[in-house]
Amino acid sequence: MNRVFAVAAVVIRELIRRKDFYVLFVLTAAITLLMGSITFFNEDDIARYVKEICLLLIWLATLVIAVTTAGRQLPAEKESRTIFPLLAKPISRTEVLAGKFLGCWLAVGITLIVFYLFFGVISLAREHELPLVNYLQAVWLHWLMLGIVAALALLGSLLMTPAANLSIVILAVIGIWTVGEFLNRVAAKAGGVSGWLIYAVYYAIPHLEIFDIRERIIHGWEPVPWGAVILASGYALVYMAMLLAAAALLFRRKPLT
Amino acid sequence: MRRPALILLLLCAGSLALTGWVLRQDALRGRDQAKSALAVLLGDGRRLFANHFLAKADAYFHRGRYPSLFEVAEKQAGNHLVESLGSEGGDAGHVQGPECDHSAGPGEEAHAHDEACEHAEPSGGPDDWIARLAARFEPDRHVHLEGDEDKEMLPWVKLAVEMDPHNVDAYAVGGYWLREMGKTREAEAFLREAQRNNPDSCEIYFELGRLTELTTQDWGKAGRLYRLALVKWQAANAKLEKPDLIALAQILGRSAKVHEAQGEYEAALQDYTLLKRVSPSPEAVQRLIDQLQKRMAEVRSPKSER
Repeated sequence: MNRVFAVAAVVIRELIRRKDFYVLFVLTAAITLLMGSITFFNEDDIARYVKEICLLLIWLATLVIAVTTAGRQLPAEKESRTIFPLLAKPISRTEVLAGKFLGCWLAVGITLIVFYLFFGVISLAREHELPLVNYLQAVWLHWLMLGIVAALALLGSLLMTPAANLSIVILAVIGIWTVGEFLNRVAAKAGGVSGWLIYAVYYAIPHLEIFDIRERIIHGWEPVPWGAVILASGYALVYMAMLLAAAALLFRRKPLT
Repeated sequence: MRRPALILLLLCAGSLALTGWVLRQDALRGRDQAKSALAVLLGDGRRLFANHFLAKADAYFHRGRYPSLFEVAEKQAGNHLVESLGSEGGDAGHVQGPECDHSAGPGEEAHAHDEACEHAEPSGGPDDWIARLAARFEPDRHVHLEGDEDKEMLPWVKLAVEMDPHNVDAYAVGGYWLREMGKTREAEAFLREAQRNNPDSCEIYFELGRLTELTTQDWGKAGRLYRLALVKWQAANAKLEKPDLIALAQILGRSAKVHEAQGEYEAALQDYTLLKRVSPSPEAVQRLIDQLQKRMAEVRSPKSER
């Protein structure tokens, strides 16, 4: 387990050194503050649209960070040939993969905390209240979702070229996020064999929209029932485990030269 | 991989920042909406955004609980804010749920958007464990904005008209809510801007009439605005196969009320008679006609006694 954590620590240090996160954070902050500076009909304390824009930017920025961070881990190691001295140490390929994933997930978690702290400050300044439980639930669910995305990008990096992986994973995630929940309706309408096929896709894909509680945060709804949060956590962990198991299987058999 | 991703990100962020900057510049300069820089930037595509932003305002009115594109297609529902606006002027055309209370009758504002109305409810759809789990993370009750929360809708309405200055629905909705919030000066400025951009729209004249009626009680001016609205309605609907009877009913209902307030009972009766022909609930209009005729008789009888 120590070996897994050692690999993970390297990934976290790498994220801290890179500029991606800082650029995205500054852009998110700048756009949010710019939009927040606009006054509509002489109303100074309109909050929800600023919260909405800020949360959307956070979701997009962290999605990009998760996919790029996870997707480049193994190809970069292979390209720079650092994978060989790494595997020459007493560490298995599965442990390397687990360490890479854990590092990515934790690194994304750190960025999430920074982004949501900024969101909390904006929210507090505009609405003069800070529903901590709601925000903690939002961070936790968001982090789980990014865990699935990172596992998917890690698996994709073993199957595709880095550029293809980046594009396909981002498109797939946005597709699932926006229309995934409606596939059952489409399947019910389609009927027949195509209906069954769509149902199969509906049940196979990880439903990322479950983890998106932005509407509740923006409009000040009460926290999600904890039972549902626990269920969603289990759901996310199962998907992460399945994707990582598939990635480990592939990585073990994949020639590195 | 890193460089293309960064370039893509910078492009996305740059375009978002540019949109924000353009919006801000326009807001600061108070430019003519029809010549907004956004029109140049986005072309005709801005109309799609305008409709999206108006739908967003409606979603805000329901505190985030709003039917999706798929559900709307299933129910073939319209924008609820526009519907609630329709209910204000009278019964005509309001898409109503089975428990809607329309007892207030035309011209009364008691029923703006009853919570019992089912039209704002997302439809059920297939029931499976994923859908049930997902539903627990979404806003789960049909509620509306309360008190001064109404202001939260305003940015989306403003953005909708920035995107498409010819979106009459967005102007009418904005005018209505600004009036409801007591921001009469802003409402008038907004509707005057709407009038400049849409000089042939009966809806805008109707909203201006409502604003005048409620804020200054200048019945004469309000009546003139309703008459103008009627003229605009006739010009726009004369050759249409399916004329907009909702708008006509709204105008006639308010025009009749204004005539009544001014003691012009004959003109009011004329408007009510026309309204009865186009209203989906002519019985309610007939009750108003009966009341008016009773009043007319009362007015006449003391004179005859003398």
